[in-house]
Amino acid sequence: MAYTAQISRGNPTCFLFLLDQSASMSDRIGGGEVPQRKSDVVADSLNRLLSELSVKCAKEEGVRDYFHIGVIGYGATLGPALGGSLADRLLVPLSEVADSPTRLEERKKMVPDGAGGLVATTVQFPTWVEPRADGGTPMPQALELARTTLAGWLAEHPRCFPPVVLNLTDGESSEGDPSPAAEAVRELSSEDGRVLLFNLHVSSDRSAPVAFPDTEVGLPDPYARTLFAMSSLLPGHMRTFAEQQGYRVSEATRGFVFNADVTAVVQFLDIGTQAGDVR
Amino acid sequence: MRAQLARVRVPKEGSTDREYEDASWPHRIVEEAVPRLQAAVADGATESVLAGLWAQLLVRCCTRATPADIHIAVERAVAAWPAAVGRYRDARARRGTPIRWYEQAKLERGAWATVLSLELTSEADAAGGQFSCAAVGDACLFHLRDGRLLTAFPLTAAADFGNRPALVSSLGAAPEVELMQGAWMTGDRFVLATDAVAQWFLAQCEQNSPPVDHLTEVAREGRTAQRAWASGLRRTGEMRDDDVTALVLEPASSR
Repeated sequence: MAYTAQISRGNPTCFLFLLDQSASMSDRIGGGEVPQRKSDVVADSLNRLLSELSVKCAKEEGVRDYFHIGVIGYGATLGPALGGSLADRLLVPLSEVADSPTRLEERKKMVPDGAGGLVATTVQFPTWVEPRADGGTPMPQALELARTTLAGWLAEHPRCFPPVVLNLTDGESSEGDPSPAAEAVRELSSEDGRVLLFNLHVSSDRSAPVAFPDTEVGLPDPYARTLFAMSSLLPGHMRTFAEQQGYRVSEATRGFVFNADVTAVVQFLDIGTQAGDVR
Repeated sequence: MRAQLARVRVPKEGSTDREYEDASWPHRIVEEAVPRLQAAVADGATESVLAGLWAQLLVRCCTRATPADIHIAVERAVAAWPAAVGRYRDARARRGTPIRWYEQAKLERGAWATVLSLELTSEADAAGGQFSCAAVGDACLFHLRDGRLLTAFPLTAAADFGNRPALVSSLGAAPEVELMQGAWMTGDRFVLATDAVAQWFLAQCEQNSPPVDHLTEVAREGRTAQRAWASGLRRTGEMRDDDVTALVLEPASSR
């Protein structure tokens, strides 16, 4: 059965994030009380997710390498988008990611004091990815870089839980139809199943997101239908998790969100990185 | 009462003894005659940091209170936890490897463990006595007589083990406790086991007979043989890859 491989330090998997850094990402995101730029929301959500993954895999001796992480930015330039000492690297073990944020900000947070009240505490908020918004949207090229990166990974990790590619974009490809390049990514596989490609469309529109649809009926335009067709079906354990988060799902549900607002961005990342059994 | 003891301890496959996150008590045969004997096992949750330290603290506190008073034992462990974390933090600083941001964040989420606490009592001239047991989660007690399984507690079938057992948290939330009690006779044996080996034990009971002699032999063969035994069962899928802890306790009256 596919998508059941146990994830361990001896048999890790990887998450590859494709980050749209085109000029339109500087527009305001739909929904939310406070106006925020799409590039800020996406970078902030990704930094939070990398922080959460690091904490989740932390043990006394450091962070365990259950996952390797890659971030590919595409806009005026195309290539690795982690900053600082990790710049220029396509896939990085999570322990190195955790130990190499570009900045570690201190933020105030209210936590329960154990006696029914709240007390202010300081939490450290790490940053690896900076917001950028410049140039066009070379999505096919980003997908092709993902394909070659993952082909190399799979040759070295043939039994792994299949890698997950999460494409975060706000617009149409400026370099032609991304569908063939997306199909080439989805055709890669480990012994445990095909690579998963999930797509998130962040919007300036204030209309409600279309999250995890199981049909293209009701999607507003050909572009939305293209992204839907590019997206993998959610495997069973992710469907279950999506259902627990309040989404209506079926066996035809795809890893795709259209018109995402701030909340939908966070939930898309949470659901898309629910890998299998970690040990 | 005196007691014979056999103990199996094996870390997860590929892990070192330092990464073993179960805990157990007692560590050796009880040679002196005592009216009351206490034993416990605990299984630190892999998902938490300092899980092994929390399991050790729980075992220490549980063996200083009766199973009926496990809430008091847990309260004492919760109260002692900040100082234990502080000592760990100081030791890391002295070694020049202070706590990193991700460890700090994880420490704030607490440490978690399952625990099983057993108390045996005996009157001076009796040929047996009473026992009571408290459990939080899926660490199990098996009570055996003449090689037969009399009681399995709190889980009774290999199929009952899931991925989300009840846990005791260092943050102090009241745990879901299950209690039981019974009577023992000289010659009876008790097995206290953390989940992976408990599930294997119950599966063996369901298919063949209780493997208590086998477990005792494995315990007496030493740590290297114990590792080889666990590796073999993991390879064939008979036992899940997790820390393994089993105590085989054989109490005898002092008369």
